[in-house]
Amino acid sequence: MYSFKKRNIHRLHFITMALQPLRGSLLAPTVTGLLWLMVSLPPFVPPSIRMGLMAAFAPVCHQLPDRSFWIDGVQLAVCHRCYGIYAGLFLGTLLLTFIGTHASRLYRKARWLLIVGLLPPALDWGLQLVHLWQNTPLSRVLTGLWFGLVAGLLLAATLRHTSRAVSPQPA
Amino acid sequence: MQNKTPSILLGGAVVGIANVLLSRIPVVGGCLACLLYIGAGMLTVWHYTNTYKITLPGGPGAVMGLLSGIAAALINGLLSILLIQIGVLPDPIAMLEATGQLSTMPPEQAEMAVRITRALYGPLGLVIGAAIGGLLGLLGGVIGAATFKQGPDESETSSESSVI
Repeated sequence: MYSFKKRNIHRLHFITMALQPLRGSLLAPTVTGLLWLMVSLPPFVPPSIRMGLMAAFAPVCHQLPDRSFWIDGVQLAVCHRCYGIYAGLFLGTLLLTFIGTHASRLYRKARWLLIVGLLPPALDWGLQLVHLWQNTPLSRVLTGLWFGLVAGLLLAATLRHTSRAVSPQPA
Repeated sequence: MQNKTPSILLGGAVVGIANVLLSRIPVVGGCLACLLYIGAGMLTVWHYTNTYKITLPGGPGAVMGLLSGIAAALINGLLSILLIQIGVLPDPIAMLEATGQLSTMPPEQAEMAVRITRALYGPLGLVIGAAIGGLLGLLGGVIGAATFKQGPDESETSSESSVI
């Protein structure tokens, strides 16, 4: 009886450890995909849910009508730049599949990667603020997408690095 | 076992209060606000790794970021409700009326809009805000774990692992 229990505990532990990398690799696309879906939903849902989605994202985005995408006369839940960020975050997590073994290098260079990601949106936003540059919907969405891609890639690389670090090693 | 609560509360409080204050500044208000919530997770992880001189793995970073994002959203929501009650921030229903949004809707839709707005500036709004803030904070926590590596891995310095 005892040995049966012990064997089951060992088996459960092995399954948990084996699933660890999968959990790490699924968390990033699931969370970012959910966020992207939620900001894209307003034109496709009834008005009551639409208002709920708009209100949910109101604290995290200015939602200015002239700086947001519209589908069939309905505004999306976030502005151009934020929409680019959410799309980029999701695509960035998927991009890691193609990066493969370079994930740990990305993890090590995280600080630089983040600066490279933040620079274009910061310039696009900051230069507009001091009247040196007039940003456009395209520049806003592209710079947001760039930051999102970099952040998403970094997010997935960090989770994969962590999963690898705790994965069971052969004896 | 290191105490993570002060770092989580610090990240949440700084971002929650900053979001309310920044939203009142014309032009800047609301811009890059999603980065603020990602920043809550990053700030939390930075404070924690800086205090204990350790490197946090992505998983605990995600949990700390999630909690700080939730804290930031709750602080932001509660502070906003309080400031609306004492008249510092404009009443959201009065704003809906002032911008003429209600007059363009059919009566039943306008009534529903008022009901939803009222509900969203109450407990329901706090829950929804906490969910969105938590998700963004989670992303920030993981990114922060990768960005702020201060020393040995946390799992090497502590035999126990606890979020709070």
